Amino acid sequence: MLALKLLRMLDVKTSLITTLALGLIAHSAWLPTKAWLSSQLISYSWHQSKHSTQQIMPWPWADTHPVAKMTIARLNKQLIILQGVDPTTLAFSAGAMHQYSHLTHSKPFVIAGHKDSHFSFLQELHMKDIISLTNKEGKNQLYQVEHMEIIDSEEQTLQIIEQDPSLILITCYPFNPLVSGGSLRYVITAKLIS
Amino acid sequence: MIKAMPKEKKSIYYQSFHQYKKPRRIWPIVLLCITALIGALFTLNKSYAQRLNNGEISRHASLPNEVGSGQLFFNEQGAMGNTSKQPAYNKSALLINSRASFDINGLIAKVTVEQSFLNQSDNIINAIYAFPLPENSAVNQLQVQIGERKIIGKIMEKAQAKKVFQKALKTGKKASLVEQHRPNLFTNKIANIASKEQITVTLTYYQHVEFKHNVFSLRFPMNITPRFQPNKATDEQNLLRSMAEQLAFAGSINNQQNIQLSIALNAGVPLASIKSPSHDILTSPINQHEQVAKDSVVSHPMSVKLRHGQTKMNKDFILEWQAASSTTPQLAIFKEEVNQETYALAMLLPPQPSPSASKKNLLNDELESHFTRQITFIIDTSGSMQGPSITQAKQSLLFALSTLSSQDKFNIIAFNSSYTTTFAQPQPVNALNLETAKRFIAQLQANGGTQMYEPLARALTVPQQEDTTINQVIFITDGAVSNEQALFKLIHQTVNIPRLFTVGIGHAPNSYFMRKAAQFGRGTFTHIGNVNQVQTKMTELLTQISQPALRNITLQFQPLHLGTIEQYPSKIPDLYLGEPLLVAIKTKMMPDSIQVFGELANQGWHQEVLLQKNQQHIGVSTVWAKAKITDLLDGLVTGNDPDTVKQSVLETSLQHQVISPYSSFIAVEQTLHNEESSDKKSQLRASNSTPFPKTAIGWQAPFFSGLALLIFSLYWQFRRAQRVSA
Repeated sequence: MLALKLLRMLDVKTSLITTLALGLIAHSAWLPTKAWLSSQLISYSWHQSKHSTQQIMPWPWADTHPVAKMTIARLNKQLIILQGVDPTTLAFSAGAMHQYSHLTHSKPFVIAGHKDSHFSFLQELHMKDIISLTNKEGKNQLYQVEHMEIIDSEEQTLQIIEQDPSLILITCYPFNPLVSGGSLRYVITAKLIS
Repeated sequence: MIKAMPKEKKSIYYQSFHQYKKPRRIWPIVLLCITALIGALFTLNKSYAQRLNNGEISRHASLPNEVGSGQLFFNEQGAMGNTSKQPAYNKSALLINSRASFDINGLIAKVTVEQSFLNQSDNIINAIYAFPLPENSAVNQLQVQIGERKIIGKIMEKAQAKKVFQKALKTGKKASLVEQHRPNLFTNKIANIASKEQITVTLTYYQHVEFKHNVFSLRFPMNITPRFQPNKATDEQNLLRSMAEQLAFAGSINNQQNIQLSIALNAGVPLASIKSPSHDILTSPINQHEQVAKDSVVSHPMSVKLRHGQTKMNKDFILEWQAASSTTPQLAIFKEEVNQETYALAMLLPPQPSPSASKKNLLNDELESHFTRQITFIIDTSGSMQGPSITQAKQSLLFALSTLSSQDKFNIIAFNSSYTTTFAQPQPVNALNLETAKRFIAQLQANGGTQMYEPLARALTVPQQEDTTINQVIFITDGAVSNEQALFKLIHQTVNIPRLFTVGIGHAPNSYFMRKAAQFGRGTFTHIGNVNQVQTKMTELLTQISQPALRNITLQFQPLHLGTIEQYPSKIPDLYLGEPLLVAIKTKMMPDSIQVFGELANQGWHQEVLLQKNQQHIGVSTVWAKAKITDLLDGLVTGNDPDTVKQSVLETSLQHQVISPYSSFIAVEQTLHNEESSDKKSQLRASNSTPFPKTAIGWQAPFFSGLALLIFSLYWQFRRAQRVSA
């Protein structure tokens, strides 16, 4: 009865605003939902590909594939890292830069992710935290956070030392949800310890 | 207003309408304003961010390379009790003498800079020497003389450099802080310079000579443009930043100082002109070679000096020279003997227009003897190309179509998880086919995976039509591939491979793959990082490859048997108009002559150059060593044993004093020094600068404002319903 009454109350203008509000919510929630859903598929494909030599795509038309798993024990956090840092890939999970996506003792490993989805936990990362990376072959390397800085991407580019086997994590800054699209980047450097 | 309303039917709805007329009139407007504002804010925010992202690369690319000329900055240890937060290294020492000499051989210049400074103050000072390096150059020798002390920089194996450094620390010697902060700024820290002591810095680096629009040019930075970006905000870096800020002031001192320049120019080919757009110069032939070279084709080495002996250091020195016009390619050989081994550099210069003739004339002449081309374009339409990348790729493709000539044949292959071709076979260029191709391009969309093996295999195995046809493949991609190995193998093993030109699109294409693929396919790699660059870069590429000046190039030595010959690149690409070709060779025995064979459009071509025993061209071995190191490092990806590669790279790096990933540049003081050294260890390392990826979705703000809006409107309706029912 009350519902019927409410329905009768609805006039065009208020319902317009309600629709607008719902639309705004749906639109903005699409990307994080996609991010969450894809991470489920990705972690499934990761577990599959661990047991096979072939690359298993998270979904048949995917243009990327998992390259490593990142684990931060203190935060009880696990994340599958994809290949590539193009916007499409980053929408699905954090991605490793092509030329720095091999787990070796001689080259850096560079990962970028969205500050408001997969990499939001970077704000909780502390100095001396241990980050573990495991690749598909099961090779594991441990890194310790040594350096955190905020860089203005308008003023400088990312300097990567070619033969420094560090792990570099990049995300946007500040983590404040109301600011986005700015030029600041949060860059964490972790040194190889094993 | 009330009058206009019907008074007869007083429904609940009508009542409520009147009862809340006032608030209703205001609230919708307020709400709509808020929504509009939020909406506008986000659109603005987004487009601004986009603009930032687009502008990022171009801005970085356009940063001037120079910080200034060689400078010595110091802080006075005695005068540190300053209350202000003034940076320490803020004054530049008195420069008393500057000299730069250039040895130019073809496309390489060895530059030696010698600068002397005087500590004018009454205190002991620490100083930083800063020198702006031209692009693509690295310091390979350094010597700093401070009174009796001497600091010498050397390239060593990393581990050994560390040991030497530790030892130097223990024995009280000073190891110098040598760093290349930005790829183009060289700095060296020198501690403990006594009052009135003189410091002499001698620096050697190799630089590539620019060749553009048929003009060779070399630039030596002498001007002050204070720009400096520290990588990391360490204290040291802060000092350097402030130091750079102070450059402007230092500049005003430096402007008054003089520099001497002397240049030995051995272009290798007869020259039409030597000039300097920046300074007044005098040129004269270097005597001793004059008679020897009188009747041979080899040009005379020239000596270039400033007309007034020296000049004020207030603007960059630029030297330009131009080869005499020629309708056929020209060959120049440079040679250097080091440790009883011969290093030779063959430079092939494409035909040169006479300076007065316009470009069009040259092209018209060329048309008489024209190679017909068969071009296959391959375009990547995988998901990673989404956004600006696919737009750029499509634009480049459309542009490329517009440059085809009517004698050419063409085809387009688009691929993602599978591939489609415009035509079953390459088709002649005509209006109908171009229309079909344009329609094909227009419907391309980026999604799906990257399976480039099959389309590439298809393009590479297009049957060769006639002997005078040249096959070219232009491959437009962001290079997001994982099966590099298989692709290299394919390119490597294809017999009679078409020339492969790779075009990298977007922020961070897999440039290793594309450079290497082009090298195997005897073509070139072009990187387009920004939408604005599509037109210029594609024009450059397409004009250049529209006509090869010489193809199927081979080298031959006299006598034939010289033992092992190491040659880079091992597959010699074709020679195109507008770009000289370099081949670096090492032989055990010195050949008497080197011959180069090739094919012009309608006839064969060959040229022979006799080598002279006692002629040395400095820098040839360095070029060879660099080429060899690159080649060895590339072997890592194609599966060579890392240890063997490291061994060979190190060997080459140390022998030729060329920096590599396994070696460091370290400067150690030669004589004993009593004081404890506080300098930190440091090494010159190759660092790579990469633009930042976009790392925010920006979903929270619209989400929460949407949520707020929803709650508000629901609350409002609820209130209304309450009042109505009340």
